[in-house]
Amino acid sequence: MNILVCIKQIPEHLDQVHLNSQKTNTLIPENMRFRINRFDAYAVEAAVILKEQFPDTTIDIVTVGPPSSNAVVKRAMGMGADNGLMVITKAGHYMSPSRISAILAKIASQKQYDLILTGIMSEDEMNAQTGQMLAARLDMFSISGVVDIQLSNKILHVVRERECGIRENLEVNIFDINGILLTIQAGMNQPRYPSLSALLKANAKEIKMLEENHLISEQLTNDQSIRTIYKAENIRQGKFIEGTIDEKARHFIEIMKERNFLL
Amino acid sequence: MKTSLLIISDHMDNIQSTASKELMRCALEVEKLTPISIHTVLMGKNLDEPTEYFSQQGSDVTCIDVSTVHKEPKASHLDIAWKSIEHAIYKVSPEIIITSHNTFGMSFLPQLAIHMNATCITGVKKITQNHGKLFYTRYIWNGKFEAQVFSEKKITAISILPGYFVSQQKSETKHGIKHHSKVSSRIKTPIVLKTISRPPVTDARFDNADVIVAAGQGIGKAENIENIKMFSKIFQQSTIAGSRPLIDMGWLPYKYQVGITGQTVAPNLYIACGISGSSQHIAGMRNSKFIVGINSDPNAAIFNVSDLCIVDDCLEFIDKVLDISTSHII
Repeated sequence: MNILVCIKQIPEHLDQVHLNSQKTNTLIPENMRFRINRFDAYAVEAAVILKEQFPDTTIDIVTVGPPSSNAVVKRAMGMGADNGLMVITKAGHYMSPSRISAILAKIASQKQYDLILTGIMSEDEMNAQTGQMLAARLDMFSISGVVDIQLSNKILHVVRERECGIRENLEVNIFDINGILLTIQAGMNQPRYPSLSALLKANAKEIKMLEENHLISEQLTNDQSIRTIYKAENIRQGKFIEGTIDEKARHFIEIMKERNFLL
Repeated sequence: MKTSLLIISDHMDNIQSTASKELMRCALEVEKLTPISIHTVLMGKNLDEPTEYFSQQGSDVTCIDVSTVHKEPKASHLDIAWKSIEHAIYKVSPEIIITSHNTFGMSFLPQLAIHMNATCITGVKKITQNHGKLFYTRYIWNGKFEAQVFSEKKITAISILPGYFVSQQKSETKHGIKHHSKVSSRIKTPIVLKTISRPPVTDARFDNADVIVAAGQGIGKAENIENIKMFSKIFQQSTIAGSRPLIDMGWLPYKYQVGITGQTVAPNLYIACGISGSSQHIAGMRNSKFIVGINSDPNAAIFNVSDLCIVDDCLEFIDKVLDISTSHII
């Protein structure tokens, strides 16, 4: 079985991300370390679990991003993926989900994948579009918001999360339909920590590097542009309590008493 | 010439009336910004009531009855959504398409954008206009920032965040044209719906609670839930809750989850401990009467919805409060 997992890098400390002076993009401190987008980490783990059950499985990892993204590809390989592939873009340049999905489609169509997995969304842009757009471009069936996958007798059993905790238990024969794409919702497994030896082994492996303009001949453009970014609007004008922790705690108790929340 | 705006609304479970009203209000807000004609495509079963609603608001309505998904082998309407509505959408040839940012809307909107060569903008919370151009505001970075984006294409497909298009509209009763159609039985999916499971009936803990003390990943480890419990006990009629990341880690069972994928709560006092305040969480608690945020990051999005903001390590702060309040009792 061939599995492709699409992942994205996310800064390790979201709270240290700021805005550029023109307020058109976010600014990530230079020494920032990156980790796998939380939702994508579940997707990698799900693929590795399938490989443990079906050893005749190859897992390819792909990412589209700046050169620093190679760390997350190595990490995914350390978790148990076989091959890594990167499409390098310029750092700090906005790429819309539509454009990223066009690049991923080019990669995904180079091999017959039975299963394509990706996180339901990225933690930074929160679009929840790329996976489904990739499925549409590949003319592949897809299921979004998946919280469980089991494969037995060539039937893939998938649980999809809906609103209010409702779950749909679905079945599909993926080998009859040229594969399926699943976008993974949080909490489906506990992504493993790669062992040191696995990480060293992954480090020794070569990651295939490609550039966007070498991969796709026509000039790809974004379908949307950012006019401005700003700190999220306050819904309530909150009062900040100042002082030492002791003073803050006392002030807090006073306010709770004033409002009759504490006796 | 008026731009054609299309609302796509789901009425499979008979629980979508809030979502449809928000879609209609969103359309009416766009109407204030640019001249539009409003059309609606409804998908689901028992569509009489929503058809009447959209029609009275002046929208032409096309109903697509998808009860056929209940025939064996069963399918989820999410897996036939695009194919079922495709024909009706092309007929309207809209330039703006609006649906809800929920599992229904997100089951087809990105695909629709690819097939129709449209721009897709998801999780929209506000729409504004400048020099004839529409700008769509959406949360990014877990709700810490907002981005104003605009479409580079002729067709724009958006999904709207629940709870943000709620202004009351005074509207005279109008009568849009109604069309009815049944989805073709030829529309099939290889994805078979075996069963639907619903969560065990949630206990009434949230309904009866005056005070909810909610914990997020910022509490560090599972054992610290005990500190949150102790803290909650200094309040009368209180209970604890958790954010999704915390529940996903297995630190509390699902029934404690507050947010868009859990419970929506509105107690008199909501204390968020170590919760960053993702838009998903805020949607589930923003109507609480008084909100206290405790977080070590002064820029955490939780402070945007808090009445009282405490920038500190939440566990140390809680310990301090417990120390002081227990010594008072003695």
